[in-house]
Amino acid sequence: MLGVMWYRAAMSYRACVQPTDVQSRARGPLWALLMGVLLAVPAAAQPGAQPAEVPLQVSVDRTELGLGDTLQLTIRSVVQGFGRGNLESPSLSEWQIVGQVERTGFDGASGLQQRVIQLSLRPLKAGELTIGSFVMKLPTGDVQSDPIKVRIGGAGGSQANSGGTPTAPTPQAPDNLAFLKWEIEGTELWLGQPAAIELVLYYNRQLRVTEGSAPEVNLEGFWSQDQQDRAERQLVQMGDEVFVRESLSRRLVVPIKAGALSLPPATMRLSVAQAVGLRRGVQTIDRQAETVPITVKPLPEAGRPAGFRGPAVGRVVLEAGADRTQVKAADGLQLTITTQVEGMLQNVPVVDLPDLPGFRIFPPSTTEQSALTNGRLRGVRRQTWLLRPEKDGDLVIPAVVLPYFDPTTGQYALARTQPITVRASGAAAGGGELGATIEARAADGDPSVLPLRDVRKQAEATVSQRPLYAGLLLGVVAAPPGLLLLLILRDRVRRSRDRNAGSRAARKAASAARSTLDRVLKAGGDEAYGAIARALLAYLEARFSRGFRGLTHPDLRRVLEKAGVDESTVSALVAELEHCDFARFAPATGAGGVAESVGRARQIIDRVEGAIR
Amino acid sequence: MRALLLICWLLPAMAGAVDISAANDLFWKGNHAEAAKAYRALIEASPDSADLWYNLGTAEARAGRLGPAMYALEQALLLHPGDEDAVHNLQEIRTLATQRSVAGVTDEKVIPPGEDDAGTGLLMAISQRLLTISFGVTWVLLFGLLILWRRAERPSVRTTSSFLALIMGLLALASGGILLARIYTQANVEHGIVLRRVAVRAGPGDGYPRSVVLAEGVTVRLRGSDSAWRQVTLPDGSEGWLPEADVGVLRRP
Repeated sequence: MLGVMWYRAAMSYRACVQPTDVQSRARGPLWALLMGVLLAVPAAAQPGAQPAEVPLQVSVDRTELGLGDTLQLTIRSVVQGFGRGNLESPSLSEWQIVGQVERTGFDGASGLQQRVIQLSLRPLKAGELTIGSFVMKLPTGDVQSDPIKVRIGGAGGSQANSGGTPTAPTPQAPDNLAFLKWEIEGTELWLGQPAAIELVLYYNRQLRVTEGSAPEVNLEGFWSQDQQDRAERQLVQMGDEVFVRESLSRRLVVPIKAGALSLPPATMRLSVAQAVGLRRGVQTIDRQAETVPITVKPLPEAGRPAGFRGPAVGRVVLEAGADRTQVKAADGLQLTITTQVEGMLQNVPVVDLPDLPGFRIFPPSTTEQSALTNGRLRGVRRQTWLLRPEKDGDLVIPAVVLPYFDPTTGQYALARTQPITVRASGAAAGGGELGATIEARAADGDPSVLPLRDVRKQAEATVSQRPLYAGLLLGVVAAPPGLLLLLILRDRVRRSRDRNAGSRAARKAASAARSTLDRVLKAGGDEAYGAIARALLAYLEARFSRGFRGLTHPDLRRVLEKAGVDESTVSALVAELEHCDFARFAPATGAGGVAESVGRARQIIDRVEGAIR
Repeated sequence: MRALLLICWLLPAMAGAVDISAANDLFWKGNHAEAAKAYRALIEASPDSADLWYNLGTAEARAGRLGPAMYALEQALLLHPGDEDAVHNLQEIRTLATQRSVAGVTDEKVIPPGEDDAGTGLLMAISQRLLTISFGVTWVLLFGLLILWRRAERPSVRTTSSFLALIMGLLALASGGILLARIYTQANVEHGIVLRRVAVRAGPGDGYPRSVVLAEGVTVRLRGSDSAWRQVTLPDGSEGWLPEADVGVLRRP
């Protein structure tokens, strides 16, 4: 169970950190972290989860091999936590890296991350080669593996060089970070000759591309078709560096005019960062693929066969077949000629059937199919004729010839079918009479031979007018605006209700304040001034739906004036509140008695109501 | 009781069916002209039966009367749009009629069947179902977006929904307009089918000069009438007069 959980975590993480699309890379680590944690937590709960003890292990599957053989180098690292530790590899300039597999797993219980990298290496020379030390840089210090010596014998594998001589030196990269390049099969083409082109991005293996998209290019002078099957990323040794080769665009191009053409410069902006770590140190760089000149040669005049049209360029194969070789005149036979083209089918003319003595030929039906597979454009055209013998005996359908230009040989060639012999019977004896008669009558406009459908055995008196359809349409037309109107009405009702509720609350506040003031007037006493002040403040709070207690008088003045109460009313209110405060502590000094104060408070309430209204 | 219930259930169904066995017998015996006559008699009693019009069209075609055949099949299609058998037979007959129309070419211009006048033809070429679906979808989307616009609080959502609502409004207006025009044309514009090869006159009478010749099965737009003559708009947009007896008027249900 634990193993299964580990495997799922590792695969999820692996799938996320190595997305196939350049643009999607930025999302990978975060998603992988989430998946890793989610899947690793239950795994950690399983008993027996033992972390590896050695932080860096480097091993090879063998230490002796031949030139052309492949060595498996395994680097296994175990570090605490995610993203910690930076693995530095030694120079592998004496090796060609032909493959790389990486697996990463995370143990949630111990917090250990295990990373296994398997490199497939092919030696570039014979003798004793040394794979240097791998260094794992950790916060606690560097960990270094031991160098590994490998003896390379003579020719070993299928791709070995004879005599153990070193292979040609690997090409030098024009840029240590990244570069763009057009790759094409050949720079000399014939007019109409298809060629596969590829725009390739190379970037240093120590980097990862976080952003970048394939540039748009205008291939003037070419007919082009995009190829969907892009090559997978590959590792390529260039000088002392290993580069990742990534295909951005694969197209099949066909030059449609002779002369000097070119693949245009293609510019791309991409963001790159160190391969290890999150998004630290991202830098944006511009790279341009250089123009590739292409010479398009016109088709030669010399040796051009008669009847050459097109330009039919490519490799053409013609096949002819009949559905029967013994035929009655009344039946006729179907002759099918198949044109197979490795190249542009559209440039290859349709086959014109020559006059066939003894046959009546009806117009052909034609089907065409083109496909782009493995960088090759292939097309098939099938033309089918209906032939009706007009005499008995052995009739020969002769060979059909189609001239074309073969770009691989640079010469014209002829595609031809094999002749077909057909034995016809019944024509002289009038066996085809019925068919001929029908044709003749149809040609003469005889409606009795028209292929009409028969009359009906039953008839309904009326046809339903599909009221449901009209009702449905009416519903579709009426329902959406009705719904919108309902929503608008509902909002209005709600607003109106809210507004009414506000005015009701205000009216209630004023009447409640007046009632309080009446009670204060009846009760009298030293507490009356405090009650008057509280009644005024309670009124204001209910009236304006906000707190007024604790406000300083300047703040209270500002709030009320902002709410539309005139300055004299506000001044009267503030004066009355000050008077109440003063009178609470020195009742005898109050300006007038409680009754006057209550009267002023009533006036203030009336004035506020008037001002707001 | 069960028998009574069965009769109650069958009665309406029996009332909706027409006995055409006699006419069909004539047809299958090869007496197509008599069969057509029998179908016509049945149609007088049940003029809204698409099946009867279809059978009539097929019998007329077998009898060699291509104009009346096309008229009957067009009428069947009006009553039952999209009837595959009627479409097939009409196509076959129209092809033959077109061949016939060019066979006896004279100096006069002959208009073959299968052509509508430009405006009506263009309008009718667009499927009503497609128009209805387009209008319904854009209409619902328009109001859905308007509701979203009213209720959304984020400015970006409001901007996007108002922009999309504008587009949907324009599309709904266009498809709704074309749909209305099509329905109006269907309901108000009367069409007729030319029953036999006939010359178009400049006025309502044989004394007026001839302009073009219409082949049997040509669709014309009916404009007005004067005694036994119908004023028509021809497929090329020009006006003319035809004897009323040579035009079959298509009647909508």
